[in-house]
Amino acid sequence: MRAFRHITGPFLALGVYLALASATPLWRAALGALFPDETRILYPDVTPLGLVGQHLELVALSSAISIVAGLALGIFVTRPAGADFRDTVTDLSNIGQTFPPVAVFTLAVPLLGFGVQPTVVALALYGVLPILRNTITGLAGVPATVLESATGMGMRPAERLTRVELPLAAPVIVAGIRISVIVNVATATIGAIAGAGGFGAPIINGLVNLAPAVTLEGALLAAGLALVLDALLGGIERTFARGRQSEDASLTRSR
Amino acid sequence: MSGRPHVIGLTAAVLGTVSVMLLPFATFRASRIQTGSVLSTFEAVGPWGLAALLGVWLAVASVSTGRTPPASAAVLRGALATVALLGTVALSAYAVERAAEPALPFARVSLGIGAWSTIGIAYAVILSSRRETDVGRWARLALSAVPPLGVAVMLWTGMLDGLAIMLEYANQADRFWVEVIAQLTFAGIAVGVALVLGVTLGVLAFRRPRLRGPVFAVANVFQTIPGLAMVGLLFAPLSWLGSNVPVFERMGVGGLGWAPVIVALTLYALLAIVRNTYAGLASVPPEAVDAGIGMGMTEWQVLRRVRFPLAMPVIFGGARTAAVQTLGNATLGAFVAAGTLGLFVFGGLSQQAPDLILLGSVTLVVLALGLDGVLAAAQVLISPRHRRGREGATP
Repeated sequence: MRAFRHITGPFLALGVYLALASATPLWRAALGALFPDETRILYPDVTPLGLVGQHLELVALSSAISIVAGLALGIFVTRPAGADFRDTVTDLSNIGQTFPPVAVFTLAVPLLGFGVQPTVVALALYGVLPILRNTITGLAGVPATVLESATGMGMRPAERLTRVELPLAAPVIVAGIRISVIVNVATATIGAIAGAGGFGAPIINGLVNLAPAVTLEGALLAAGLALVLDALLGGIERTFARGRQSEDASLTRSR
Repeated sequence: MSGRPHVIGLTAAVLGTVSVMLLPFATFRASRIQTGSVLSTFEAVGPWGLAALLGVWLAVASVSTGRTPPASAAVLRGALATVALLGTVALSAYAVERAAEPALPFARVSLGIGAWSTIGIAYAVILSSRRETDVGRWARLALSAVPPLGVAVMLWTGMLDGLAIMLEYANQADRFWVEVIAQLTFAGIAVGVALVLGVTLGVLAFRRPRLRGPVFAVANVFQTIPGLAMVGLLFAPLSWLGSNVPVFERMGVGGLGWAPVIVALTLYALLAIVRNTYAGLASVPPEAVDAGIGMGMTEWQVLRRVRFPLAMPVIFGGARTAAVQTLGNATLGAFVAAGTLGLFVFGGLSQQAPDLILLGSVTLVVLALGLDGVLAAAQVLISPRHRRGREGATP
């Protein structure tokens, strides 16, 4: 159980967040008490939990694509077969990360269209970059001596990758995934303008119609989800980092 | 003598050819907001245009086979990619001319995904050429400068004025520069405030280990909360302050307007500056600190005269990250009636006017890349190696 101690807290927080989000009457009561003069309290079209669902769908789909693509490309360019691409891929992803995420999203819409699918593609596109960069950094950071001893133990390249390189690079890779997911949660709020729903819908609706309660509903839900996911991925990052430290320690001890 | 084939060059040639042959080069729309029909490269720029683009990629492939000596191959490949990039932009102007119909005076031609990907692939080749060790300093400088200068010249001469994005610019010309300045002003003020606060907090975290955890936790929370959500969270409290506290009322503070933008951007920018200030101060070698103490400096003098100068490049790096992020995030202003390029970007999205979106987004990207480039150059200038080099040069 000790292995999971960094993520039990964040998982509890996620549970609390979802429980709170599903308590629509609670939202109505709390926001009604905060804004006694307002007639518009909750976003009319979707319940709080429904908004969480829409937003999570956008983030989960796009992050899944980002993770698979970022890992695959990162692994490819750090193998001998893809080594020629490494510098150029690194350069391109550095330049890409200079692009404002909002601009990547909005540039994709005229090319791909409006709605959920283009939003997912646009989010995934930007989300690849931090994962790709950290995968390259993480895999490149595995010491050559470790690689040599793995080969010396008779590991084939694929085995070496899955049993030595990826576990050692995991904390750095997860750090990239964390950045990617958090940027995705934020950029997905803009997706509302392209008709993709999510937390942006009540926030913008409230700002445009001067209904502070509706804006606060969306803003609290968005901030909560971002913080919970950040804590969760931070916990996973620490779990991997701990495993790595103890492995390092055992290596030094055996030496 | 034959060398190894250049994989980037060959891949780019294949992908470039695919983009030219299979992806739409341009989109034709009868008016600003009508859905368009896509034009293939052949339809958009005719047989000669198509042949020219294919010819450039064929040439890229042929200098990448490994038979050309690596040094000249790298320069040639970079030059050819520059031709492909600038050629595509120039051909887009030609596509506008070809598509013009007197019956449809409001028709618009914009670049399609094929043209954009050609530009992207060509730029990747330029980047790889620039990295190659055999490329001389001047060739490298030319490869960096010619593509943006070329596009700038085409814009300056009015050659591209017929393109949809430029027609949109002509429509918005009065507002355009106002919003660009608003974007830069918001980002500049927020980064300025964040620098003062962030460096202070970074020093605090460094000097008081017990505050380190809380300071980083709070800064991380500010950066994790989505910008739009932060603006939303500030809406009610700032409205209240603006209508109940006379000082703020006079300053124009409210749930809408400049206040939420500046506050949200400042909070968002804190983390990068705090983190780098702390990391910079902590990374100063103990020998330098010891030398300072040995000279009889007080703790404060060590911080100010030893640690800070040595940490400067790292702190500057944090400010650079913060500035580039903040510049992009300033688009949020559009949601709270504070203007910025967000007006074009998000206005275009809600009106479903692709040219308006493009005008805002492309400008945003150019501003971010330009700012990052300027700050990167400044970072090199203040880095110790450069200074040492210059001091060594003076007699």
